[in-house]
Amino acid sequence: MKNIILAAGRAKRELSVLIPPEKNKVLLRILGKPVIYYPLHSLQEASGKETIIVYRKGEEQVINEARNYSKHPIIPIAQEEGNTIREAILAASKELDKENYFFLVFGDIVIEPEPLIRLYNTHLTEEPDATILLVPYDPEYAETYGTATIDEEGYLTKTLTSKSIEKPKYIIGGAYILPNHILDLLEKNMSLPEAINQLIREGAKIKTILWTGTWIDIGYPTDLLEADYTLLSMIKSTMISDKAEIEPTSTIIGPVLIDENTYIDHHVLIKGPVYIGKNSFIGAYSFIRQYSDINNNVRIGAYNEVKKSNIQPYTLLDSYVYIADSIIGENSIIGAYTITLNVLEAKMKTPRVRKHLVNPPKKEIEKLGAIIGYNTKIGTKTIIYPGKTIKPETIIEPDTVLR
Amino acid sequence: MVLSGLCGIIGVVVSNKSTRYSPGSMVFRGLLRLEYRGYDSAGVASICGDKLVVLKGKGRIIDLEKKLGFSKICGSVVIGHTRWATHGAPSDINAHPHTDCRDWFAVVHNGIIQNYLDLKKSLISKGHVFKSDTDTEVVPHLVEDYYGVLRNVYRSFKQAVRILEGSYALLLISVHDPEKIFFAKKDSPLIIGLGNGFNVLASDIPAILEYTRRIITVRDGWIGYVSGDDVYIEDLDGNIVDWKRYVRIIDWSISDAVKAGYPHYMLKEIHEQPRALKDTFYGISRDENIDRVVDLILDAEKVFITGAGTSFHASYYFALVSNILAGVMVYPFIASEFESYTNAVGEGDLLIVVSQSGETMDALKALRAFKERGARIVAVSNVVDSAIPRESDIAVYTRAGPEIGVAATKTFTTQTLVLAWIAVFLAKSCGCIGNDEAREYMDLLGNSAKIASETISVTEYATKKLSEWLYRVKNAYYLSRWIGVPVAMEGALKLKEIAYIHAESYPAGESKHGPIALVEEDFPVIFIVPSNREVEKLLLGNIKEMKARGAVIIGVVPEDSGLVDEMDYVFSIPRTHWLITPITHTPPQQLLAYYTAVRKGLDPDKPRNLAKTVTVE
Repeated sequence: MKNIILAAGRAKRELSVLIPPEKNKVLLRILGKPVIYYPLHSLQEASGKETIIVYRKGEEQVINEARNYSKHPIIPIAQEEGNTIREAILAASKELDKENYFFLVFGDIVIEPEPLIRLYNTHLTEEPDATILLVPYDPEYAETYGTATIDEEGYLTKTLTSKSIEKPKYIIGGAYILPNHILDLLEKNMSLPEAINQLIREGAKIKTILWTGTWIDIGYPTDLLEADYTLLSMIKSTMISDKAEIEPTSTIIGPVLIDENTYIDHHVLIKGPVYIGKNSFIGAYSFIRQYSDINNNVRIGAYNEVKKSNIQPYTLLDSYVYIADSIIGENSIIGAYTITLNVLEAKMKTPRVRKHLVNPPKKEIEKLGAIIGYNTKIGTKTIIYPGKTIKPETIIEPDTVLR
Repeated sequence: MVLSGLCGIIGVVVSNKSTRYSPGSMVFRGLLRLEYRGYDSAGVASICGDKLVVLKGKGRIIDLEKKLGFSKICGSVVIGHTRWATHGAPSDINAHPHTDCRDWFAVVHNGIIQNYLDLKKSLISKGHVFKSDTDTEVVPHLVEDYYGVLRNVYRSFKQAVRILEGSYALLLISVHDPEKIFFAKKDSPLIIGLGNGFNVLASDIPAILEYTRRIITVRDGWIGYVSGDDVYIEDLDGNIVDWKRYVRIIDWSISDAVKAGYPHYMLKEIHEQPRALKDTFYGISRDENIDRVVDLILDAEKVFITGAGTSFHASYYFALVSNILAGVMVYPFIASEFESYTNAVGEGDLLIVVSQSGETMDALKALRAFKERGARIVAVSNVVDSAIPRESDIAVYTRAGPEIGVAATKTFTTQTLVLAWIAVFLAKSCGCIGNDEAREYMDLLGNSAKIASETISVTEYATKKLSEWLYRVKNAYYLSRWIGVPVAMEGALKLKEIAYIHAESYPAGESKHGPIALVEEDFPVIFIVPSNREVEKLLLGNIKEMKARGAVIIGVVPEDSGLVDEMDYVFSIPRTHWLITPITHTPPQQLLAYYTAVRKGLDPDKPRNLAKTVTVE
């Protein structure tokens, strides 16, 4: 059984503001690691062997990053044409000739090893015609996922599209063990869900594994915040690299992860769970609050406050900036005294904003700050309204109010 | 006929060189591992010298071991079997292994031989004498028959298997070829474990994981034999199978193996409910005893129903349904309180005893006390021929399959399905509902598996989400009215026993008579809203009075109910008929308790201080 990771997908419009050309969404950073690390690591924990990675021609950085984290050889397959999963799988088909099955995982899913181990073991034990991962159905955002129905025995009965009238039961988890003869169906121009439905029509028994733990499909910017929240929630203790430098007047309340060559200036207060990546700088009197994910090479000036935000590499925050519930693309500059507002109006519909019930449900407010594209320069004293997306490479004049 | 039901089989063959393992103890330990597949009877067979030895009987494996000494059976070739009857009583005779007339062959079998009646008839006409009522027994006799002609065990076995119809995983040993176990497989699971100086065959991986991790999954149509050092397999077309190609190494733990991909039994069993309901419906819709139960209820002067814990909630539900649908008064009581009721009991009365295990001591004592005073007894149980069904006049069964998680999940919903079915027939018999209405209810109950599947899938995400907050609370109320009350009681019990959160349940109208004094800011109140507009209206008042005191209002609510807007957090479920409220409204409560327990870092399968079957007072 060969391992395949698909990492050639184009980002949705909402997410694309965070990804510069020559990069892919699987290179977005979560706790210092590219997104592709998570499925790759988990897949290799389940089925430790060489892994085919389908990437888009011109995005070779995907392969380089994957190799940094892979314990086994990587077989790169460049996809030159097409945008679909079908075409990506077909691009890898020449590597699949002799095997009976292949283990397919999407490259943009933050997932633990356990579900993939369960998937693999169940497939080997029960030897169904195929095995796929499902996750609980989230009615609020169901239309943004592929979904499926199952029968009383837990076998897949149908995969659904957003146009289906049937009520979906579970979200398809982006991890599959599929028989190689599905390639024949894909060759006939069927999409992956159509081909799976065709297998079922032909009498195939497709076993499903329900995973109720960590699973985040990185499809929208807010998914990065969800991933940060979930992964940071799992951190139990503080770990500070011995190559990081922390001034004695700063205060760290765990759990906090601080990577190497990072400098924490005097009187900084960090309240975990927080991640601060390599080669970063946190200026004096700054307050870094829960669920902040500050990636490598980020510079945060004096008197900043950052809360529950994801800051991609090489971004700079001047002094007196307030960033909350926000995502900032790489290599951007946020001018001094810039403020993000973060209480969403009830009527505002933003994909996949997750409420976390820290408080009783009636008191929980939906919050989202700004989504700021890469290579953007925000002038000083800018006020950004909740849920606002700022396109990449934008230059905002000082004293602007962005609604 | 006695069906094999859900069974587990195992066989161990040790080569002469090996002394490391005793095959008897390997089979015994394997049977213990297979016990989750069922445990009403068990047996082993081996070849000692040139004689076949069979030890078998009904009861739990551990008790049979004490009585018969499975693990001490002699010989280097041993097969074993454990059985869970879905119907047909377990007995010493019906237990596997089965043998032929001359005690040359012994067979264990998992599956159903469909053409066994024809085969049995023709074998009897040839002079074969059958000892049991099982389908399996035809196999040793068939092999014996062919052996008379072919004088070769494997070829005789192959001939026999060729004419079997149905599903099977079969193991056979014979005094005429005493160092092998012969096997065949079709539509029932079978694996081979490869050891050093021994080989094992079993229904599934947990039974062998202790001995070896090198396994072969036997394919449908494969037939062959294993000895201590070798394996021989042919496929459907008679080609020799290169089995080395199929060897795999399993690197997971035994506890993973039996949970079918789920992290806990409880979650697995919650998700098994649609299947359990489907199987239970299949059983009761063909069960002739239902009419007899209905007649007993109608003929009785007084009808009582009892159970303990979850089974009491199912009992209470029946009392309400039989009153609402059929106008029949049924007195529900908690089993351990039976003495408060016996004085009113006499001949002509009826007691319905609900017990998952059929062994609950409190329920058994109630049964005996009532019986002594002349009452007739009906049992509702998940374990065929357990103590309570045995001591009853009539038993009807849920077919939930073994439940391993200590908290009752699928057994509750299947109990209520059985009881609702009885209530519908009761209402029909007394003329309270017409044939058309009865037909509608029967269709509804037939559809309950599908509805349960939907309610599980649409609420799972939301229950997990709510557990992020709920795990911090210390107290909760579960409120409802009318048919929702026993369902709310079950919800509160789940949260108590699994998540260790104090949860109290009572009819919502009782709030103002006391309990509301406890409600303060952020106190969680979970409303179970049955599908009935009148009840919904009444509950609105209760919701408002709780809200006014700052409670957090959580609801299990039909999706189109106006009450959805009154809630702080909603599990919205499909709107169906109120009759199946336990089936539509219980799964979200089970999931909520499960996720809350997991969020607290507790093991939902093993709540402290609790045992699955309470056989003490």
